[in-house]
Amino acid sequence: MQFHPESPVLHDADLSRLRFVTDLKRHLFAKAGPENRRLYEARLAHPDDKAPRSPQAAGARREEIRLGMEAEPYFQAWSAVLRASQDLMWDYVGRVVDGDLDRLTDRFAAAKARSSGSVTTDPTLAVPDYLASRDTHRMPGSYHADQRPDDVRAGAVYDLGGAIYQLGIGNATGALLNDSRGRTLVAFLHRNYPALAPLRILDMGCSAGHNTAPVCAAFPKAEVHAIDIGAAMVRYAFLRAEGLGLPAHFSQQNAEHTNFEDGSFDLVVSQIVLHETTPEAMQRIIAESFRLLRPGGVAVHLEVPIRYEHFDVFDQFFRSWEQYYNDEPNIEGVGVADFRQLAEQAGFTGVHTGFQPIPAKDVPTPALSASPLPGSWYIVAGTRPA
Amino acid sequence: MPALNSQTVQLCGDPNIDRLFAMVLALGAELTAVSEELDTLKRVITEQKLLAPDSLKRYRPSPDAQAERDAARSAFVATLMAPFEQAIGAPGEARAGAR
Repeated sequence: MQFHPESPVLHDADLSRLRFVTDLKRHLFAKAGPENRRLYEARLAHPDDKAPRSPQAAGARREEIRLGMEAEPYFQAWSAVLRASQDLMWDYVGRVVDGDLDRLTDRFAAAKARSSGSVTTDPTLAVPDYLASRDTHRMPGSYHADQRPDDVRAGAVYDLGGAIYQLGIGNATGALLNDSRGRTLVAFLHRNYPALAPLRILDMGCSAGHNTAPVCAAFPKAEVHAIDIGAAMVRYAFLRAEGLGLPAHFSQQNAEHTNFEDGSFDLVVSQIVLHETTPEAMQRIIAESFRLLRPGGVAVHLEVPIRYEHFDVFDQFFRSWEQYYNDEPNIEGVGVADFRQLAEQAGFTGVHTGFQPIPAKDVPTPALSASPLPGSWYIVAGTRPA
Repeated sequence: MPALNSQTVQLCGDPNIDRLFAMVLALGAELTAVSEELDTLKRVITEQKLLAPDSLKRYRPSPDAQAERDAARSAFVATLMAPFEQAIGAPGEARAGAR
């Protein structure tokens, strides 16, 4: 089977293995995970932990809790199995893609020859240290591996692996299309900027393009550009978009400093990019989104819903598990960030921050929620003043 | 497949425990795949009445079929052993060995 017209082909045995990984992750997150809090409360909790404390001031206590939990056999085993499930997922996904890579490469060449979109790579582009120093979320080769002519491997691996991961954490709303972020972002835009009719859109850090697609579909008159650090990412994202009939212009660029001119877009978005950078890079990416907007244009940065101000000190640590044990570089940076202040410092006005539920069929889009809701993404948005 | 570049810590006191977990998970996934494939086979041949009684028990693979099975089994053993091969030089390795 294929999960979109240009996806890798999955055979029954591949699906069996990947379903096993998905079930395993679901069990680990939903059933076995909560035991860690009971363990903390029985062995490590301190009466002061429940007292309100700023996320920054709680840093030392988070570290104490991390070290305490790492000494507990249950946490060790749960974490080791969860990490092993991640490695197994990438291993199987990698094998699916490797078995189909020649065909995918041919499909890319054919799509490039006939497309109304485009794809541009830059072999001289430097990979920032926060991406080069580790393979983000343990995907071997990360976003930027580019190992053969017209390589699309990293994009195909990330497309399928990212979808399996989302199913594993219990977000099945997009199935293997894994497009809940794009759909959430579009729902937010329609509700909060009903008059917005962008003619030029930029998606920063598009990876496999799975969340660029809903944005393209929502604004069919717009010329959509999408950038990513990885050459194989943008090639695959281009192919994927072609297959869905949603052509766009993909280029290999760093979201911190792109080659587009000042004021050249009506809408600039990023979708779960910031938590894979650094606190300093987040500021630069938000500033770059401001530079690229025409006066009156809108930027939306959608992120993981991990906001420390809503968590007690144990959850501040535990919800950042992926930073410590899954090679995610900046979960804590997002957790403690004051996004309203960051956006206003960059020059944005009319700033919105809050949690946006993933859209459900026949349910009107609610306003952003000030506090976390199950099945939601975090959003910071603002306008470049006229 | 590219090699993994990781900065994460050793989780269990003995790195062999981490490897054992990885092996068990790979076995679980493979067992799931085999069980489901076998289930598919049985249903198809039963529905299509292709199988005489005792056919499965009496079956002996041809040399070519046996060679294919051998290759598949070798590949599976390589998967099962991958956590050991990947762990050489991993953080915690020297410390655990010194205990």
